[in-house]
Parts: sequence; structure tokens; C-alpha cells
Amino acid sequence: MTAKTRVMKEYKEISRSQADEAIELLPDERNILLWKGLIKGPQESPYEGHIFELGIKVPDSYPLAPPAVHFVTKIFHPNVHFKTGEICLDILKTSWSPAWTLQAVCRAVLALLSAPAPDSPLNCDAGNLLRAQDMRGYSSMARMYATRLAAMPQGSSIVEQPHPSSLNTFKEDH
Amino acid sequence: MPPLADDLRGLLQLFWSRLARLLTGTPPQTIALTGVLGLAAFLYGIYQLRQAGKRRSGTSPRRAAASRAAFQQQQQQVQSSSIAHQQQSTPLQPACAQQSHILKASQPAAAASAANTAAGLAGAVRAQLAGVSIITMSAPGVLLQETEPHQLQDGACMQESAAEIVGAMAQVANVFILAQVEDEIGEATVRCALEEAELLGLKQGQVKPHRLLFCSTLEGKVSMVRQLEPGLHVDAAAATIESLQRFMPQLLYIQQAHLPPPASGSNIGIARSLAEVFQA
Amino acid sequence: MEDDSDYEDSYVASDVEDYPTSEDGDYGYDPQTEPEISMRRAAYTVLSEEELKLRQQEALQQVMQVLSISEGEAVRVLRHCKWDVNRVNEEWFADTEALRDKIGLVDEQPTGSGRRKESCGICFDEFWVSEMHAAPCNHSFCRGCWKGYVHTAISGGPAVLSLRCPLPDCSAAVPAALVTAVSDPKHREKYHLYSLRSFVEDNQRLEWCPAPGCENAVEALHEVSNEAMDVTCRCGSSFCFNCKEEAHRPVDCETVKKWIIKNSAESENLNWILANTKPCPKCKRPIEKNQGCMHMSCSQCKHEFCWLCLASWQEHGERTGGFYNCNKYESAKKRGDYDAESLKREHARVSLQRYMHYYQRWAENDRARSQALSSKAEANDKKLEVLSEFVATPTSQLKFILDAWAQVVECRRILKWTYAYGYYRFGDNIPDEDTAQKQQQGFFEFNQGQAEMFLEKLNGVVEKDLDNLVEEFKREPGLSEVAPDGSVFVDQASSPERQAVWSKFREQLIGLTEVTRMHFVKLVQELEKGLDQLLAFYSEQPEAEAEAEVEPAAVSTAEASGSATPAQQATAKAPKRSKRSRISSRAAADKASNSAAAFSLQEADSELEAEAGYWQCRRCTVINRDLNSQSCSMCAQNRRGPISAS
Repeated sequence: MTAKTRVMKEYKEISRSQADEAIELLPDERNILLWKGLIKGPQESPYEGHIFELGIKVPDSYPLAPPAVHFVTKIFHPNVHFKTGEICLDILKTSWSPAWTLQAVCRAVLALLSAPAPDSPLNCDAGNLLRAQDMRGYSSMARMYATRLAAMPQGSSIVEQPHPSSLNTFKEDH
Repeated sequence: MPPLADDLRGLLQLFWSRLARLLTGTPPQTIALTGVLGLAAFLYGIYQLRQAGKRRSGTSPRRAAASRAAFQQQQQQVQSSSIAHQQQSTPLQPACAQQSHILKASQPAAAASAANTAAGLAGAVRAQLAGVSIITMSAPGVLLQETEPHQLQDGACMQESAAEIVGAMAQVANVFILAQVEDEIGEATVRCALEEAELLGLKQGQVKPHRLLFCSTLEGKVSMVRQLEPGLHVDAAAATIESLQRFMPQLLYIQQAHLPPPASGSNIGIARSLAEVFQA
Repeated sequence: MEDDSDYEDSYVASDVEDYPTSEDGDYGYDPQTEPEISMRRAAYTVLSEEELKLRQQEALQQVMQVLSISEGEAVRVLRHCKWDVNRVNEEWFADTEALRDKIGLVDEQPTGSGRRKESCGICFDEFWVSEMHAAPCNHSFCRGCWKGYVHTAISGGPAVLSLRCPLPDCSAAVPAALVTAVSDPKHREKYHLYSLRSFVEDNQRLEWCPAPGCENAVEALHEVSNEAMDVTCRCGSSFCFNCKEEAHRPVDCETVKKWIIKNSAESENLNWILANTKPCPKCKRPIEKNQGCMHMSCSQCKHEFCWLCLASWQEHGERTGGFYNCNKYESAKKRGDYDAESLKREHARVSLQRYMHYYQRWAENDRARSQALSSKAEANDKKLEVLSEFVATPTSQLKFILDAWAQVVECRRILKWTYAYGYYRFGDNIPDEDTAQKQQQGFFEFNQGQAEMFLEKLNGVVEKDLDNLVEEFKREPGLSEVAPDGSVFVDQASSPERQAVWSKFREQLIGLTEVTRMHFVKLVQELEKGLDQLLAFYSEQPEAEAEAEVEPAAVSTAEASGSATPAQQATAKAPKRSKRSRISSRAAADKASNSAAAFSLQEADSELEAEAGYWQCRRCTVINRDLNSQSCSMCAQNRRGPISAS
């Protein structure tokens, strides 16, 4: 029972039945252990209407060890590091079980987007917003960043271009 | 051989012989003097060429210092005239001196002291915001006349000339507008006011609509500013300025009439309104 | 007064167990081990590995019977309740369902029809149901996946003892039987080891003996509190049950921890640097002056400067008063420029000196203790044999020598920790106005000094005097004749002179051992009770103090001789309690009546002495056999009259 066998089985299962329309998992052509996940922001959350990309690396000891998942798309969320995309999720660390699949992991990430846990924040500012009970501020920031950085489902993205400026050159560094 | 060439050669020979006679005939000191003068002229020429080159690239230490001094004077005039009746000249002097230190002025202050034309305004803004790529500002008190969240329930009024300044800013940097409101009505009010002033949109000189952010608490606003990491933050609430003092490279406090300023710092600038800072 | 009753209980206990004569292996101390001075002893036992297993089995059986559950479940329940059977009963019967849920004990689910294929939830292959394993929750996985899961968990440490079903939302506990069934022998052994270790580690009443190579555990037979408790393992090492450091009564655990950290911390180095070095004005590296001249040159940056005022040397030399003075420094000092800095330096120097004072003594006593330990072992192995030949007494009679060594070891340990106590108790700067503190410090140091003096004496006698004696015996005529078979003539050994010398030495040593022990007992008690209370009483009642010192001596003789006068019987419980109660009762009485009562007590003393055949010195408590002598043989204290200062 190697990681590849199990991953192949999962791939077969995913191709067979498109169970979740909010999650799309695509393996890398050259390496079955590298996956790209595309998740749609959950309804009723400020991420609604946007698509976020996840980078998934499957270790050799899978499924006995958890896959390494991080956000490729930058996202404003208390449990996601803004710059590196690292995710603080218990099932990816201590509560991992070999019965989890990649799809289940993505579902857990989606659940995390809907229900952030401000008590163990990787993004302190987002955590502070939630702890101060400022849902308005949190939502508007999350929505703003999603609009700037995440793609829209139809494929037309308004990912920002660098600001046209004649004299001063400044970078779009968000 | 053409006759022209002949003439030329003759002329040259004549010139050469006359020169030789001159050189052999004159005393040695004169030759030395001539050499020295020629060398001097040569060096002066090189120096002028270098100056010209520097001027072309845009920085000139002498001229930058001169413009900075002029800018300082202008700032001092503005500050002292507005708060002449208060006993705060001393903390303001270092404040504005430091401010100019951060906001490097590259163009001569001549542009800043020009008349209130749009070109002059843009120039002034560009001059003072060189090096700053992100600007955040809190709408109440800075862009709007209302200062407290509860005042936004009934309606919002833009401050005069604030819209133009923000428009000029938006041309040179990423501008984010934050507003602390109480509920959706407040949100709508602010958004309306800004839209009426034609500040929101995708065109040049406008703030993109999704960059208008709202929050309900002061701590929330502070967190948002910290997340955005601007080079300059403009606010009318002293508490926000105090909380952000340690983290921001530059802060601008728009002082209300009767309230005391927050703790002074090298990165806090104080003014009565945006217009004061960015206009002559 | 409530304090009294506590002490009473413990004193009773300690009195009974003072010198145990039973050979009962249950108790952790037998006559061979060092006599423990700590008064507030609690009962404990030492368990070997076998005994641990037995204990664990006992607890398991008990729980299994009472709760009617299987062994695997019992293990889980016990682990959850820290192996406390009482707690198990309480929690179980209070809310069985809640406890079962928390631990993961689910009711056995029906397996259903055997002959069918299911897919394993981990590898997604299909297997016959009968070939798959499952926890009681009946979530089946194939054997290979179970093996991987269990092996990974075992490699992860003792947490595997709480292993749950692999299915994410199922919290059913995986029974030990399943774990052992699917794992290979190596991992199985590890699992068993974790299981056994959990009995000690999760249990509040059991602690491993910290000595390297010792597999024993110590069990406390009472409620474990947060106080220091010294226990001795069968392997010989003593340690504190609470903090696992070496035995450190009378000092409490926090002080010990602080002291150990301080000894190893960098802070003392920094303090030394601050006190003894100055930074180079140019490169700021600390420089120590090693010669007399004030002209310093930094070895790293080659900068030359004056030590006193730290200015560059160029502007110095002859102009500022020569190479050994510095006018600039003097004038600046007069102005007060250096005040803050030199004050800081002064502070650092003083505190460093103070720390060194205590630390040196602590380290010296520690070393002396190790030496004493090895000397004791050596005496046991070699010297006793030799000695028994010389004095015609069997080695069993020579135990008093070993006792003396044991006493030395124990007293060294106590003395060492009193220095640590002193360092923290009497802080860096005691303002002179705080006379209470100063009094306490004086009191403490006096007692410490007394105890130390007697310890040194005891150490000297048992070490040097004994060796000298043996040398003397060797040199005496008649013993140098060695028979062809190697035996030595021992007729000299029974000679009356030899015997007299020997018995005198024996008495001296025994008496000295006892005296030292009493002093240390007193010291330990004082430190534990707190110096404040005792001092208050002592300062009020100087006569009562002199009084009370007689009392314990009289009482212990009463115990030894078996008779007691009525005046003493009322306070016959324990030495120090009598002292205290006597003090407290005296505190209410008139001072005149005090002296009157004191006199009558002295009369009672002489009666007692006449009966017993010896009198006990009031200062050093040694037993003087000569009833007619008026001064003590050990400390030359006057038999009657006020106790002279030492």
C-alpha cells in the first residue's frame, strides 16, 4: 500500500463521480503526488463568488501521514498566513486520520473558510478583527482581497493590473 | 589638382608658418600662461558637462536642498498661521521638519507654490508622496465633514477640495478608504457621498470601488490599516493615530478644532485639513 | 495552636519509627540506611519492577470486578483516572455514560453477516469482512492498514495508549488486544513497555527513582501534596518526591530549583563581568586589569586609555598626575560624575561576593558529603575487619562507626542546603533598621554555626582519630608477630588497657554522633517552622530558652531510662514540642514565677541523674558518666549555672 496506489484510487474515485461542485482536484501530469485544488468560496461568507487555489503535496507515507496543503491564492483569513499561504488546521497536523481523503481535506478547508477560529491565528490582523467582533471590517477586508486576488468562476478575473503611472513607479505588492 | 585644394594648402601653410613664428617669437612665460588658461578652460568645460548630466537625471543636491528649505518654509507658514493662537509651535516645528524629511521633495518647490491649478495640485501631491505606494485614509473627518460614526446616519458631506486631492492621490498611489460606521445605513451614506463626488470608479484618478472598506470598531480599523501596510495613513481620530504610531512609517493627523493632538512623534504630521497639506 | 496538633501526629509517627528494629522489607529504610533526621516523615515504599507489575494487575483486577468490564477497558478507565481506584469508582458511578464516551468505550456493535466483501476505508481495496479487523465500533479496516496505523502510533510515543478508531468522527478506543494482534514483536514490546510505564508516569502516587540505572519506583502511601518529601530508594539514592531533585529538606522545592538554576546560569558570569571589568571605550569589549599601571591597552582594538577615567591615553600621562593617579578621575569623582556607575559596580560586586560566600560553602559541603559516602563504603569493606581483629569485638558490634559515617553524610546534606536557604532568606540588602530580620539572621547563623562545629568534630573523630587509633594499635608490641599461616596474634586485643582505650573512644564517638544529630534536628525544625515564630518566643523568654534546653535533654534521658518525673511527663511527647509548649505556657506566666519554676526543675534533674547513673550536658547534650564531675567532658560546659556562650 504505497502513497501512489492510494492516490490513484482517489483519482479514480474523483473522476468517476463529481460529488462536490465546489471542489475541483487536478493532479499534476508529471507527478501524481502533486495536486492542485480549486475551491469555491462558501456561500454566506465574504469569499463567496471567488475561486481559490490550493497547492497539495502528498508525502510518501500517505495515508498514514497528512498531505501538505497551502493556499496558492492569497487570502485574508485568520487561520491562513497571508504571505505564505500556510493553513492552521488540526486535521492537517495532529488530528490526521488515514481515512481522510484529499476531497475530505478540501471540504475541511472550505468549512474553515465558513467558520474561522480566531483563537489560533496565523494572520493576527484578521484574528484581531474577529476577536473585536468587527464582522463588518473582517468581511469587507476579506471581500476586498478576494476581489483583488482571486479569480471569478466565469473565468473573467479582475485581478488587478499594476497601476498605470507615468512618473512614479510603485508596485502592486498585495 | 583643383585650384581649391591648392588654395587650401596654401592657406594652411601660411597659417602654420605664422603660428610657428608666433610661438618661436614670444617669450616662454606667455606660452606657459596660455597653457594654463587652456587647461583651465578644458576643466571648466568638463565640469559643465557633468552638471548638465546630473540635471538631466533629475537630482541635484544643491537644488534639492534649496527646494527642501523652501518647502519647509512653506510648511512652517501653514502650520504657524493655523495654530498661531495655540501654544504649540515647538512640537510642530520638529513634526513638520521630520515630515519633510520623509516626504522627499525632488521637484523644486516652485511647483508647489504655484497657483491652485490642477496641474499644480497634482504636482504638489506627487511631490510629497514620492516613495509612497499605498495610502489609507479614514473618511470621517478627512474626506467628510462628519467625524463620528453616529453622525453618518443622516447624510454625509464632502469637505471642499478633498475630492480633488484624493483624486490626485489616486493617480500616484493605491488609495484605500476606510470608514467606521454603525450599520448599513452608514455604509450607504458614505458610499453615496463618495460616488457623488465621483471618487469611486475604475478610471484614472478614481478609487476602485472595492477599496472602500468599512468596520464597526476602532480596533478593527487599526487591524485593517496594519494589514494593508500603507506608507501613509491619514486619520482624524487621535486614538487611531496613537495605536498606529509604533507601526506606521508616516501618519497624518487631521486635527479637529477643539481637540488636543495625540502624542507627538517623529512620524506624525498634523494639519487642519488635507487642503492645508497639499495645497499652496 | 492548630499547628501543634499536626506536629503532634507527625512526631508520634516519627518517634515510633525513629530507630526501626523490624526487618520488615515493606518500609524503605532499615537499620542499615542512614538515620533520617527529617522529622515530618511520611510513609512510603519502594517497588521493584516485578512489584510494579503486581500492583498494576491488582488495580486492574479490582476495577474489572467492581465495574464488570474487560481488562482492556479497565486499562483505559484507570489511565483516565490517573490509576486512582477510588477516583475510578467515583467517576464511574457518578455518570457512567459520560465517562464511557470520554474514554471511547462503545458498546460492541453487531458484526452482521460474515461472508461479504467490504472496502477498507484506508486503502480502498476490497476484502472479506471476516479478514478485516475492527474496534468495538465495528468500523472495519484491512489488516495491512491496521498494522501501518498502529505502527505509526507506537512510533509516536506513549500517546498510543489512547489510540482511537481511524475513522475521523469515531472516538472508539482501540483495545490493546487488537493492537498486539496486528503489530510485529518489536512494536508489541514497545506497547507493553508504554503500558507499564504509564502505571508510574500517569500515577500521582508513584515516581521513578531518578538514579541512573535504577528501575525502582517509590510509592507514597498517603495523599500527595505539593510539599517537599524526601524518600530513599532501595538503590541508596535519596530524592525529593515532589521535585525529583536530590533530597533537600529542610529547604523547599522552589528554593532548590532557583539555586540550581542560579548555579548554572549565565547571570553570575555577567555579574562578575560587571563587577570586575570595564568596557573598552572604543570597542566596548570587557577588560580586566591585571597589572598595576593605569595605562591600559585593549588587546583587540589596540586603543590605549586610562583605567580610572576611561579617557584616551594621549591626553594623559604626566599632565594628569602621573601614571598612577588621574586628576581627571579625582575631580570628576568629587563632582559626583561617576556616582551612578560606581554604585552599580559596587552593588554587583557586593552581590557577587555574597553569592560566592554561600556557593562556596554549599559546594564544599557537597564535596565533603561525597567523600564521606565513599569513606563509609570503604570503612564497611575494609576497616571494620581490621578493627575487629585489633579489639576482639565482632564486626556487628562495630556498627556505631558506620552509624557515625551515615550521620556525617546526612548532616553534610542538610548543612549544604541550609546555605542555599540562607542565601535566599536573607536578601541582598537588609536595611539596618530591620532588626527583626537581622535578629533572625543572627539566630539562624548561630544555630548553623553550632551544628557545623559539631559536624566538623564528628567528621574529625570518625575519620582521623579512628585512623590514628588503628595506627597506634598496629605499632604496639606483640602484634607485629605474624604466624606462618598469616594470622596475627590477637592476644593483645583482649588486654584491659586496650579495652579501656577502645571503650572510651566508643563512648566518645557514640555521644558525639548523638549530639550532632540533635543539633541538626533542631536546625531542621527551625528552618521548617520558620524563623519568625521561634525568634519571637525566644526573644521574650531568655530564661525559658535556657529552661527548654534542659527539657529535651531530660526528656530523652527519661525515654532512655524509662522513668519520668510528673513535671516532664506532661510534656513527654517530643523534644521540640515540649520546648514550644513550655515556651507558650511560660509566655503567659510571670517572670518571677519562671525563675522559681526553673529552680525546682533543676532539683528534679539531679534526682533523675542520680537514678540513671549519668548526667547530660545542657549545651551539647552529651552523656557524662561521671556523676561527680562538674564540667562536661565534651564541651567543658559547667554542669550547673547559666550556659556559657560558645
